[in-house]
Amino acid sequence: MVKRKTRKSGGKPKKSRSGKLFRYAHMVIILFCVLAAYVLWLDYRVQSEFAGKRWSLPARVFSNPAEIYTGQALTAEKFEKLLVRSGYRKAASTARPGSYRRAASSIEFMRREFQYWDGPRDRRLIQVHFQDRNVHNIRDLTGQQDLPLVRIEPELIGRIYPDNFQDRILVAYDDVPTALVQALLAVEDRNYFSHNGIDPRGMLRALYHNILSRELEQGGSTITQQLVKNFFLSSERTLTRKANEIVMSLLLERRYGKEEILGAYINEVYLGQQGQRSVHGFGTAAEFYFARPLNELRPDQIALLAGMVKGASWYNPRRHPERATQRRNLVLDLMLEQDYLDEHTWRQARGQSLDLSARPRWVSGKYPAFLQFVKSQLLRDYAIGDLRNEGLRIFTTLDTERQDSTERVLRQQLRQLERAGSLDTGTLQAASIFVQTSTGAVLSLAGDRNTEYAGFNRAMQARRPIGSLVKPFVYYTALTEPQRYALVSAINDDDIAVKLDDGSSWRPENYDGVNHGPVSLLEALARSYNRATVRLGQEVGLERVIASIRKAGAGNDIEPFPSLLLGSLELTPLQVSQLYQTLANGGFLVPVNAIREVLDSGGRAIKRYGLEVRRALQPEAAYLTAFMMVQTVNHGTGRGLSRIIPEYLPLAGKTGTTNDMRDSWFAGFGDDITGVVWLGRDDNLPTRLTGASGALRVWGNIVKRQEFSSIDLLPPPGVGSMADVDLPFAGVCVRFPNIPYVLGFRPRDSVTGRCR
Amino acid sequence: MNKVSTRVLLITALLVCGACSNVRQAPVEERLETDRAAESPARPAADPAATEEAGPQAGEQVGPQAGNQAGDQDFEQWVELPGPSEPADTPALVEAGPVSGNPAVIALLDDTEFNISQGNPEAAAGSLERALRLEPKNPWLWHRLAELKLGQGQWRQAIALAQKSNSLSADRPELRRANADLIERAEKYE
Repeated sequence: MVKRKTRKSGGKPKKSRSGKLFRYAHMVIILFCVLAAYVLWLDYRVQSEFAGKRWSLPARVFSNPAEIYTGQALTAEKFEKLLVRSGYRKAASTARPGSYRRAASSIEFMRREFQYWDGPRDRRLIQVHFQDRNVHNIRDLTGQQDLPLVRIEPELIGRIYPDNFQDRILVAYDDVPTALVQALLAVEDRNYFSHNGIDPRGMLRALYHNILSRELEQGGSTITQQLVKNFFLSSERTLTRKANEIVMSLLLERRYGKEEILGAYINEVYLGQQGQRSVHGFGTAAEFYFARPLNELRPDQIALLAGMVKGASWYNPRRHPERATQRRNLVLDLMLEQDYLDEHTWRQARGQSLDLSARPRWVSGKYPAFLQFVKSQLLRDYAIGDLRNEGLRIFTTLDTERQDSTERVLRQQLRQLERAGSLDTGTLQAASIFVQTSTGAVLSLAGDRNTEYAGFNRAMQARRPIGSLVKPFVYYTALTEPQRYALVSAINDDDIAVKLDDGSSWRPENYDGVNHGPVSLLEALARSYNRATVRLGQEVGLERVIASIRKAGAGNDIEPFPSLLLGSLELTPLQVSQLYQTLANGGFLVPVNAIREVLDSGGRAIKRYGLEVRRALQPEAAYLTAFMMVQTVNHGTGRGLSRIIPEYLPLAGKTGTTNDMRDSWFAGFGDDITGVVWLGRDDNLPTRLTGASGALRVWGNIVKRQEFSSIDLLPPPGVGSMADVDLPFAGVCVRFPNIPYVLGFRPRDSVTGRCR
Repeated sequence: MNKVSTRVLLITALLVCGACSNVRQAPVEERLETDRAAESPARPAADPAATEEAGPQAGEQVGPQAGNQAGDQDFEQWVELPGPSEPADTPALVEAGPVSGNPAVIALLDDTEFNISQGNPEAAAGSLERALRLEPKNPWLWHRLAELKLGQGQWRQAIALAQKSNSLSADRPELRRANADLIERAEKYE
């Protein structure tokens, strides 16, 4: 024990000295290991997060690109409007993409690069010549060739946002304008391309300033540090965070090239806010502030954006134009000082006004009803997360010119109808859909009279009784039996009582309260007689009428009540547009659709929504029905159109009015456009409008302001025609130049006899 | 041939085509010079050598199924496999007269035929539908789309499209015959 003690006491000081040393060394090693592990961990984070960094990109939705072709009926004025709509600007020189120049009979424009479904179209100088209100020639001045047709880039009409509401248009580093790189270097980090992630001199300068002001005011951060801060770290200002930032910056620089880092920075940096939505990256900011792509910006515009990095809301050019201008000029001065600008350019740039776009081009909900329809179609094929995050590019069928003019007409017509009918202002509501008949493509869609309102979308969601809009399908069903019914066949319009299941009787009345006696099918539909229609429907059978409606594309759960024959059936305007598309298209159903193609964020086509056609109705009977609907506009309940759009007659149409005038409908079609308009009130109170006094007027005025062609009824094979038929019609004798019939079933003169 | 085995064959053929494809195409807007030089509306197939020269996109693969493009040899193989598609009656109809007076439609048809020759029927259908949007009442275009769908093995679409073409062909008996023939072929494989 003693021994041990002595030994111990003798050795203790010595051992404790070396032990202390050893323990310190130990601690240092442990500390070193911990630090090393920590650095390794940071390195891992930097690598995995930077390499795997994928920004959430909103899906972008585009309108239908306009096609210009030789021989097209188009004036220079209209073409110019179209260019402006696509974001082109009039300029003295057409060197920049997105600019155009107008001469007396021609327009020259620098087409932008654009990625379409079938491949990219590059930047090209194109000249369009006009002659006699037609496109005479399209010349590609870049490629020195004539072009048969050319597409103008579509408008960006909306976005489907990620959950974090970040908005971003990614720009590849190669597409970043040199001026932007220079401006960023000049103002944020002049030694960027020579430092290794941190800039000690810059930091010292900041430290000195901070000590003087006793606050952590200045960062002195390099671009790399700013990126690291944005990517990996919180925004708190502590020394630990600063240390992390420095280490990670060094690591990032070791792992990645200068251009990669700068490229990420350019896409990441925060540059503004609009409501819930934040604007990230210079590509997005260029669109947001100037409504132009980044590579079309002038030096002063680039300098403005580069200056905003320091504080996007402080230097917000929309809110603080003077402050922003000062900041821009400071950036320009620095660029001059560092020889990035020559004096002439500098002076010019400094003299420029801010030139901001009036409002962001893509204010959310410019066409909310249409976008909702697009979304509903997309959700059949994509998960909502993909739509919001994967940067899909969605090409739709919307014709923005038709859409805008439709919206104007709705606003103006509804006000007028309310005034004329002494209705309470703002109570009348509306929905409208116009489609290309042959392809089912939606050209315009409105779900509210206030078309910017993204609420209840009546076109898709309001199920209302369709009234007399059902009648053409009753007559169609009858005409599928040509041995039994022709257009001139007689049907009795006398009093009729239909026995109902509960034992009671239903006695429909005519709108005018008059018995018209035996009338032709043609007259009964054209003048919308209720009793004749109910009688005809009873004759052919309710179930068969329902089958026709179902085949035409709507109403899967129709109950076989006799009142269905007069339109107790409830459908949305969208469903009605499908029914009439089928009828107008000679019986061929093409699903009403809004999407053509979907591209991924890299521009690769991932889905094309091709044309789908189904022979749903008999072409012969569908043709005869369409013929009757033309007579409806010529001589029947649709006559009102001849006062609004005489130039577009003949066309086919049908009015619809429901009990107590709660709903006012009109559906009609010309050569290749089918449109449906509904008017009514959300509280379902009477509107005091019939189909003819309400929806028909709105429909006519919508069409009046669009390109529209009269109907050119082309009979299918199997349909013949009787010439110059005198037919009793509304009590007088009317001569019809021709009346079609199904070949092999030429009608005997049953009704016509009485005319002679 | 039953449906399943046809589909398997078709897919295999497409994969084979894709594997050996390297033909590129310039977009229709920039391919006019070639079209004009030929002065024949809607030639069955564009000359790939000539189109390569046109436009700066030569050298880039375009279209949704760039990987499915194929050379001429593969095309023949591809057309034969689905069985019912006989491209023979197309040129005969073309000779019966120009299918459209609209140069844009002609150019798009040319693009359609070119895409078919490249074994890219989806791109072909895309061009054809673009033409249809310009001339929706041209029964020849509907017939051509019916043929294309038949070649893709979409019998039901082929029949519906041929019927649609028919409904617009009251004054074109030769087209009605072609449609009837196509429907008959398609029904065999339904």
